[in-house]
Amino acid sequence: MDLVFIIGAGNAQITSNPIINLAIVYLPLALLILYGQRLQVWLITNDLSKTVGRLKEMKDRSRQETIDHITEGIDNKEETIKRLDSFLEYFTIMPVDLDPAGVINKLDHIMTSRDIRMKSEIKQLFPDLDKLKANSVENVIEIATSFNFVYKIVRHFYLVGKKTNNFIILAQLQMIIPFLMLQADALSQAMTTFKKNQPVGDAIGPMIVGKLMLEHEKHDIAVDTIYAESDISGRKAILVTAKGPVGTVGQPGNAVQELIQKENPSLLIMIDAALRLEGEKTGEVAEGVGAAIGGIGVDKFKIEEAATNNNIPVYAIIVKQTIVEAISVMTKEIAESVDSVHDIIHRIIDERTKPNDKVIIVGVGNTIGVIQ
Amino acid sequence: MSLPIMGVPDKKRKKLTVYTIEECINCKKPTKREFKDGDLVHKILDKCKDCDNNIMISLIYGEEIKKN
Ligand SMILES: [Zn+2]
Repeated sequence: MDLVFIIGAGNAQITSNPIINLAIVYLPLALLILYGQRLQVWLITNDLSKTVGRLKEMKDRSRQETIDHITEGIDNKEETIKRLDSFLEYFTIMPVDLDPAGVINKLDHIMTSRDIRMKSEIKQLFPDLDKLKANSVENVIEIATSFNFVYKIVRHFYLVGKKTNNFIILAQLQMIIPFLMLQADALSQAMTTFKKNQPVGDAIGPMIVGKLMLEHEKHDIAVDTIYAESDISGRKAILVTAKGPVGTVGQPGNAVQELIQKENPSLLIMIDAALRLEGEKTGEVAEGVGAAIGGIGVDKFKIEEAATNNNIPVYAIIVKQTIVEAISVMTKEIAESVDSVHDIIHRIIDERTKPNDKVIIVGVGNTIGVIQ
Repeated sequence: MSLPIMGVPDKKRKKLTVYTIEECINCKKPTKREFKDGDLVHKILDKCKDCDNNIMISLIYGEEIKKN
């Protein structure tokens, strides 16, 4: 049988036999027009079901790791596991922002009550733990809770898309799932690091400022937050950071607010880890202006407000890293940025302040594994 | 953390070994060893053999092992 291709003749024909033409060209065409989207739904569902399965595996592993970590040397395992499962379902309801005035205070209040409740429940559950271990238990439970949450949201959209055969919902989920898997991956690496109390990438701010604080007297200034006074190039440097070596970010907002009131400094320098863009190098240091601090915004708001009301310039120094690097063990490139950031701090202080001025230097981030 | 910009996942996951760097606070001679449980950055360890000053953990970091 000879195949004759007639292209551009008004009708696509592969052979001269009309029956075979129908079978090869028109039938599949009709099927694709009628059932094309179903086919795509089927393909996406297949793809997603694999990813959701993987996510479930990761979530279950994180739960098991949490159980192993917190029940280490504890007799009443059953009861503890039951409590852990209720912890995993903990939620936080964000305040209404229809009338945004004062919403930061409400947010602050809710987050503080959440922290206090979590801490006291862990204390109740494991009364004999030392502070470092209790904190690591708290962090590990928090990671497992986030994992559970990511998994449940993904599963929700997957099931809704599948039940309604909704191509758009499934396609949207497929588009964002690489980013969610990145988060999941970061969380599972974070679990290992937080269990061993190793410094994470985000600890670079507290590490840089903590090094300047060594051998100076430390004072408490807010919950889990300390400050020390030191001399840099003849200026009074007030160093603020969360109190290590437990994994906490402290309350830099409250601390800076109070110190600005008390000391009336002429400059505020903030050092933090920041997410790098694709193509940038990990451990790269950059300078800028503005409050370098993440989180849900309570601390940032307080610092910006205090700085604005007292007309204090805010300088920022950031160390770049990815989300995975920020919450898993600190890499060499990040750790080695300490000296270059110290040089920048000295240069800024020399150039932007006069002798006997006061400067507040804040090391923002989670201070896990770092002593001040 | 500032700048909440999402990246994309790396295809291959890096396997990191965690090291602890000890340094005498006076003669600054660094020694590198593998991380042990209980190691913390800026923790003071025993005395330096050369000058009797304190030895401190200066850094803890993860590094990719390069196969030659
Ligand atoms: Zn020495």
